[in-house]
Formats: sequence, structure tokens, C-alpha cells
Amino acid sequence: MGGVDRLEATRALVELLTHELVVAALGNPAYDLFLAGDRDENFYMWGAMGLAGSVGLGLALALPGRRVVVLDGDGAVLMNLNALATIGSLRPANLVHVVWDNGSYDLTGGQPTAAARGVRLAAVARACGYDPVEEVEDLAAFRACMKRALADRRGPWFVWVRTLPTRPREVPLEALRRRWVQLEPFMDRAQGRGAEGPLQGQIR
Amino acid sequence: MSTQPLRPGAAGPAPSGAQRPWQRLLLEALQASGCRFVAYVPDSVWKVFLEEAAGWPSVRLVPLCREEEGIGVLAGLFLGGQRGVLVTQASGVGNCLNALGSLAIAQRIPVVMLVTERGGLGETIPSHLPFDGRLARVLEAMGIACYPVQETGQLGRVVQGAFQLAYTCRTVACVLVSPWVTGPGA
Repeated sequence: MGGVDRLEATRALVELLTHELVVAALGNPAYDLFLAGDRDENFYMWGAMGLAGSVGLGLALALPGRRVVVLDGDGAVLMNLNALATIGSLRPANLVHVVWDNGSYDLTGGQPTAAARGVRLAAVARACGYDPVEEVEDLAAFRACMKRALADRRGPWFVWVRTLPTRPREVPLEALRRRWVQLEPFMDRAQGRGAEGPLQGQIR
Repeated sequence: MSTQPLRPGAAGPAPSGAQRPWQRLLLEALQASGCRFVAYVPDSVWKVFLEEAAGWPSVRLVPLCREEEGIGVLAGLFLGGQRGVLVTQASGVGNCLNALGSLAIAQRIPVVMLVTERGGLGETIPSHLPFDGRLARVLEAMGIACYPVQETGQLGRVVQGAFQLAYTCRTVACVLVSPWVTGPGA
């Protein structure tokens, strides 16, 4: 059985990004995004487990011309499975929902999630109306999939990624703390303000 | 309650505020507040409002499966430069408590909730009692202020005030709409 190192995959994703907005779920998805490449276009959740997809939906509705990527985890998605039904049925075409699935609550000691007991989140997403839905288990496939998802005008995309158990790494919590509460840089980039001026034609 | 369609401008010269349907006053207040998205989980009391909102040109409805999602959606809208409102019954706010605390309050994201109250005098369903009528005290314990609307004539000012408060001070405001305004729920 394959599997992707989440931090490596997040680095591969960050390399592909230009102006896309990224919402990362609390805990490991946010830590890895910060480590892979902090940028003004990143929004790091601090709490509200299970609501990263909903924040992404709000952003996608507010900015229909902008591609929005959500980085989520299996435990978080399972906590608010209903959000998949809302997103899938409303079909925001500019949303790309990535779910790292290692089948465990890594941050609390590795207890297995329902995904480890056989719940297939990609099948749930497909049933909720996400389209396309992709399932990837290695880094090359993930990179290729994200390249297509970022360039696409269809959506909402659901990208299910089998990930390996989290490797120990230093998480710069103090630096992240500032990013959790200073939302203006993200809002400026999202709303096309700031040094680079208004953004146009963000969907390539 | 009026059976007239509540379209903007459809009723000719506006009658005095107190006589106009509360649903229309609310839609006008949302428009005046720059609120373009109504995220909701329905309540029988909101039925006519939601039907009218669907035809209101400046409003987009966002139907949710669970109220908590609305706090996330409103956060995303705010980050993207738009204003939304969460419309729910009081019990639904109970489904939002962690999101209010760990997203809206923790990251100082403005949220306006429009909540229909039940569970007061004349209530017949016991399951409405724990949150309804006591919601203000629950939210107060979290540091969230509630603004009750007891008369239809107050509705517009309270809603506009709640938006101004929430979006300039980056806080959470809960507008509690009394059955005296909406009529009883089913």
C-alpha cells in the first residue's frame, strides 16, 4: 500500500501555486503548509475542526474568479461530514478540496479514525456531488493531479490523498501565532489589494 | 401576515414601518448593511423570509446542512470581502458554539446571526426550552452579545447596528428576533 509524506506533498503543491488562496485545517495541514511555504495567500485555521471546507466555500462564493484550495484531514472531514454535502450540492466550480487521509488522529496520539475502519471519503465526496474526484497514493500522481486541478475551470474538485503517518518535525508555533490573528495580509491578497495591485485573470 | 409578494418596489409607496411585513424590513436592512449572502438552516418562522429572499436581487441564499458550517462560510465570505448572515432558530446556535469560540472569536472574524426565539410564554414543545429563551445567557457566558428585537419597528435599526458593530469591531453579534415580531412557529 502506497502513501505520500504530507509535508513533501504540501511542498510539491506550494511549488505549483501562483495566486491561489489556500485554507488549511487546524493542526497538521496548517503546520505543513506553514513549513512548506508561508505566503500571504495562506489562511491557517486555529480551531473549528471540520470547517476548513466551509471557509473555502465562503471564499469561493465571495471570489468566483479565484481558485481556492482547501487542505483538510480525514479526522476533520469526518467531524463535519455534512459540509461535504453542502459543498457538493452547491458545486462551487472554483474550489479544490484536498483531503490528507492517514486514517488517524495523529495530533492526539494516533488513534484510528473511521477512515481506518473502511470509510471511503472519496466515495462520500462523489456521492455528495464533487466532480472531479481523484484518489492518489504517490507523490507523482498528486503533483500531476494538482496541476490539472489548479488549471481547471470545473469543480468542486475532491483530491483524496493517502498519506503516511506524520514524521516528527519542528513546528514554529510562535511564528504561526502571528499568522493566526493577522488576517489583513490574506485579505489584501484575496481582495486584490497590496503592493502588486489588483489581480486579474487568476484562473489560468 | 401579508400575503402580498414582497418584491422591492412592488407595493408602491411604503406604508409606515410598523405595518410592513417584517420579512421585507429585514431584507431591506440586509441590503442596507451590504449583506449579500444568507446562509441558513430553515425554521418554520423563516419560511416566508427565505422564499422572499430567493427573489431578492441582491441576496444569494446558501443552504446549509448544519448551522456550524455557516460560521465557516461567513468567515470565508469576510476574508473574501463579502458580508453574509447566518439565519437559524435558537437551537441551531447550539450547534455553532465551538465554531463561534475557536474560529470567530479566536481569529476575530465578524459574524452576524439572525435567530428566531422560541421557548417563551406559550411554548408547547419542551425540546425548545434549553436553548430558546436562555440563548442570550449561553452566549453571554462566551462573551457574545445578543440584541433582542421585540417590535417590528426596531428590526431594521437593530440589524444594521449589528452589522456595523460586527464588521467594524470584528466581533460576533446575535440578533434575537422575538415571536412578537415573527408570529409563533409551527
